[in-house]
Amino acid sequence: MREHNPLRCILPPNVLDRLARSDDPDLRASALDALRIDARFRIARAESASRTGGRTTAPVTFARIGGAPNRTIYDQEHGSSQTLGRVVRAEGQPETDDIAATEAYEGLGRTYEYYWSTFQRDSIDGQGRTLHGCVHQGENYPNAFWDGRAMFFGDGDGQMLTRTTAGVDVIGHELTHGVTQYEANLVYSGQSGALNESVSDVFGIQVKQRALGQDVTTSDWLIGADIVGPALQPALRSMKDPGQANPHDDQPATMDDYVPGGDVHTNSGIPNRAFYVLATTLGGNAWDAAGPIWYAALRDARLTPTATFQEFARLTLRNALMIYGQTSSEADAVRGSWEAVQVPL
Amino acid sequence: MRIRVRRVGGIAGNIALAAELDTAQLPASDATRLEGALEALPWGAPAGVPPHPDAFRYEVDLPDEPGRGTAVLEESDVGGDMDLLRTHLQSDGVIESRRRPG
Repeated sequence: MREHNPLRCILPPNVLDRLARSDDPDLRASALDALRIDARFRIARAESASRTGGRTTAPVTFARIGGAPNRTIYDQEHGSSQTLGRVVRAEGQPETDDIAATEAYEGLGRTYEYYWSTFQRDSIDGQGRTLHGCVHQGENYPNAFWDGRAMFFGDGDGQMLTRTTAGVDVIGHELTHGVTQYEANLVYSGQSGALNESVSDVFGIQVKQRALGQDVTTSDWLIGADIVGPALQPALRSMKDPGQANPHDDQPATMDDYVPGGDVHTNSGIPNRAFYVLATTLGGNAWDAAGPIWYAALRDARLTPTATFQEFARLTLRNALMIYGQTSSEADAVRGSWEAVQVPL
Repeated sequence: MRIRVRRVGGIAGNIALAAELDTAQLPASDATRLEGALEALPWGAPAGVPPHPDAFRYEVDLPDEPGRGTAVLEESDVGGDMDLLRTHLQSDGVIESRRRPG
């Protein structure tokens, strides 16, 4: 039987320090051992904090291997409150007859799987955080959102949007807002807000492509195609052709058409198209090289919360150079992708 | 009193929904409540950063009183007496076409 050492449990350093001066040699040795382990974790935390600056960062934890999601689905019962509703399905529990709950559970699982398989990222915070999905938000509510701790999904108004859990790209989009909150905390206005939105579309489309077994040529590059009602057919946004997704889409495709003061979902068309150009130039699956370059830029400590398109673009190039080399085709493709949308590097 | 309201933001934030409402068309008690609530709005105040990604926002104008400017409301502000605006927008709103020539 393995011996349990109480000193390896959580004890404050001052207590361990006092025990390390004990006359009892066994107690002294255990205390010194525990202090060494404690120091290692403190160094890890400090190193993590220095890399991520003032961002929202979860503490370094241990005793979790990762690779499996922890999901809880709630029924908001058409209320507008953002208090978590009634639990209808926890991790590992069987499917219910509520299709929105099933879609949310499956979609969160697909998104977790994308982040784990591609980046070995363990959930929203990288630390295995529980994924809270709240369905049936509001009355005929045509929206889905991340509120900083949970994802909320409306059933739609039937005209603009239908059941928002039906789009795995939409679920990936919302979960990615959480990832961005932990990694870069991009301010949700102006160009940093448009980058925040674009990053959610970039990873949302990859979740959809992976779920459907699509590569960059077979993907439709449409966001929200499975949740739009008759008024917004065929999709909310097109990463391939920003501004052409539906009869009312106002997204620009290049900096020439940038909309000063425009909604963050409007100007996100520019970095969305840059990602599309990069992924299709490189070919294969979007998560082979293009996704990792964008992910590395998002996690780069030099990415500030108020980053501009140009600052983000430069970080994608720096990371492509670092990952794939100075003379790589990947780095050349990154240059070409930003040139295509007229963002100077 | 004529009121123009636009819903912006949300996951479909590149699409705006707009409606106009005249309190003269409402039952007298509703008109009084709504006009009273409008008086308390932050007219002309600059909009802050939305409370979270993909949040809806409501932009309210009074076409006959352009000097007031616009009042920008978060979803949590559009309850109580202001809920009439939200329900009117939901039933009679028209999608704004801002698409540029493709």
